[in-house]
Amino acid sequence: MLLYFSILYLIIIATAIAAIELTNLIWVLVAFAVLLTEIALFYFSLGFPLLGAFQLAIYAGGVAILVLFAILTIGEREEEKRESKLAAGVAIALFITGVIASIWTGLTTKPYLQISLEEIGRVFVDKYAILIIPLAFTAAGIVFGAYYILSKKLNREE
Amino acid sequence: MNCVIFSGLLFLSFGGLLVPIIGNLFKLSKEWILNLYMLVFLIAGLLFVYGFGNGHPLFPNLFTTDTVSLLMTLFVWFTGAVVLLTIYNTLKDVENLPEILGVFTISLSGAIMTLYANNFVSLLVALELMTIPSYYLILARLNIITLESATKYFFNGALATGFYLLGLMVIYSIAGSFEFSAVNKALASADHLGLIYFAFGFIALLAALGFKLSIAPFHFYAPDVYTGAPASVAAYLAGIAKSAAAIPIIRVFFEAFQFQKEDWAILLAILAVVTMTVGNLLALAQQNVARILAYSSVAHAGYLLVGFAAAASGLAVTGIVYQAAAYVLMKAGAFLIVTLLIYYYGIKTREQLRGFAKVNPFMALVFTILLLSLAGVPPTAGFIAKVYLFQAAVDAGMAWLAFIGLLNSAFAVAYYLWIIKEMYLEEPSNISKPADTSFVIPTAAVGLLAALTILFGIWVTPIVKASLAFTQLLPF
Amino acid sequence: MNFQFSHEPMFWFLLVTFSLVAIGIYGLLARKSILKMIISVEIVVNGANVGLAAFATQHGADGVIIAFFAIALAALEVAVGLTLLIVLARKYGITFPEKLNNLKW
Repeated sequence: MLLYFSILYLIIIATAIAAIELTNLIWVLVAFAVLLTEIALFYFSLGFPLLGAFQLAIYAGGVAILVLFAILTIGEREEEKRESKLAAGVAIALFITGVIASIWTGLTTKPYLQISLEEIGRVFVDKYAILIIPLAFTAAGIVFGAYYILSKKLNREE
Repeated sequence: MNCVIFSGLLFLSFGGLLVPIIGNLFKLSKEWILNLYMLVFLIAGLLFVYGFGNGHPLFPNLFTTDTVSLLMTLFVWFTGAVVLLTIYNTLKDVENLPEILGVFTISLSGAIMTLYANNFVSLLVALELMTIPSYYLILARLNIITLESATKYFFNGALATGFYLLGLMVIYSIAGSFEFSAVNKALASADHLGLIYFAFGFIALLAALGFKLSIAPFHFYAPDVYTGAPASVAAYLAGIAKSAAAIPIIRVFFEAFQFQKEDWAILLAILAVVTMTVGNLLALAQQNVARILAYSSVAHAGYLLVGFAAAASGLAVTGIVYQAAAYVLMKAGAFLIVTLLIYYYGIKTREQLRGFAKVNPFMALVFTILLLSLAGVPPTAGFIAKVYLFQAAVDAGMAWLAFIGLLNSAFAVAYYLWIIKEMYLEEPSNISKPADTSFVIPTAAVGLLAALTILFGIWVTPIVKASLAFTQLLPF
Repeated sequence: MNFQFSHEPMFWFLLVTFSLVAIGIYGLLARKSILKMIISVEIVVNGANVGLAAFATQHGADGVIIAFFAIALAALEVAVGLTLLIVLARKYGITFPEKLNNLKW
């Protein structure tokens, strides 16, 4: 178990750093897609297959493809390299704080609850079902806004 | 939220969705589209007023209905209608105008939904419904300046969502539930270790909500975004969206996190002082009128934080609610007048405003009333709001905070009065005549906002009674 | 095929959460290009989601449901961001955040 977790953790860290540091954008996309799939594997290992499937469908199958289209529009050329010491310093400080926080909190845990699929569905319908409606209107607003920009973009005027 | 109020919200959202489609199907002209939108707003307003007393409560674990939310709904709804009218009048030369008005209406329904949120989940969904369409509103005119301000606003908003989820994770690990009342109970019975975790989660949530309110370490995006966007959209972002985000923050801090104890007062007081000072001092150096208003919106967020820092007093909630209600009217009205100035007269800076009172006395009078209310001069609503806020600070034992707040108000009066002086006491120097006289209707609408500002500066009863009824519901 | 870990400490999941958040904040501060900043925001949100799902095993099904909503909302937000990026790249050829400096301070 320890070996399994540490391999998974190293893959996640490596792909996350690679998604930010690499210069060829196609490899950035590959690293990003692998990162999202590994996170879905974490969800499966926590005992939520529905959440893992959702993550795979929306992120690895939706957001990664959207990023692919964006890369095809921008061009997968190489980019310049710029170093940034401040950002690396802040990130390392946050990381060390996070390690200390997770060691401090994570060593004593209660036994995991077994949440079945029906229970998730029942809690969702009982308590949270109405929030789908604002989500749908957000999507509708996005579609309208994108249509508005698209019609202006084609005309090439200010 | 009752069924009736929710149906009003759905009516607004569906109106924003269907009116462009109907306009395209029947090839309606732009005046008919505006009439349809006004009809949608009218029916939604009637539903909101009808939902005051009657209506079956809907999902009480997610939404609540109390007096403050109903009051602010009316303010936000009315100001939203005025902003819609002005966006229509100043963006007439743009094609596909019905779609951008539809996006605005959907975003406004999200702003009204945040006023009722009782649960961290519904607050997240409502905040996202408010801000995600507003990323597109900034792009109503597509040039490099609006693209830059839209990009900055997008990154700040997306980072705010990430921090919100982080803070939510920590709160969830202590409390086990997302409702504000359940978090209240869990925090009251938490041990010392739980309180340390809560401190981290609170800092993350403060960062997320501070992005929306443009509080001091997170205010850097605000002047660029409010200046780069078209000024009528800046009226929505800086006026309505900020106040609509302030009300659930009251619920979060007072109901869920129990700020009545003295723990967080010093941190919030320091943030309030920094925010007010940064906003006011930087506004003194600006020439562009829109940029002055953008920095003053940062300063007003500082005044709001004074109310949060003074949480130990019973008047603090009244001060915050009054400031939020007055701020919607004042700031949206001021930005809308700036829109009319830019669109009809081409006036952008303070020097170009010279002698404007002789060119268009009615618009100058409306602008003067709104600026005086922003400065906090009696008998306007801004003055009453500042009275309550600083009185609450003194009651909570932080007289130094009230003193610094009064000093900042004095700084603010300087730059507001400078604009008024330029308008009234100077001679006009080649202000071009407007192209058509269609500015009368938007000016009259903003004049209604200014009249409401004076009205609520004299008739303080409804807002005070509503917020006192709300204060009794909070576990003090 | 039972991958569920019923006796592991929570330490690993929290470590994943905090390290992803740290890497995402590094990406946002380093400002390599606008696309990489959008990817960094997605990394932060995914890290917070893992944390929420991890705590849902202790407190009930509420955390899973908010993880659902967070996935959907973050996906919508990245759609908006990519639209902005494509408009900037096609119309003005800008893909680096340093080139956006038209607003005076």
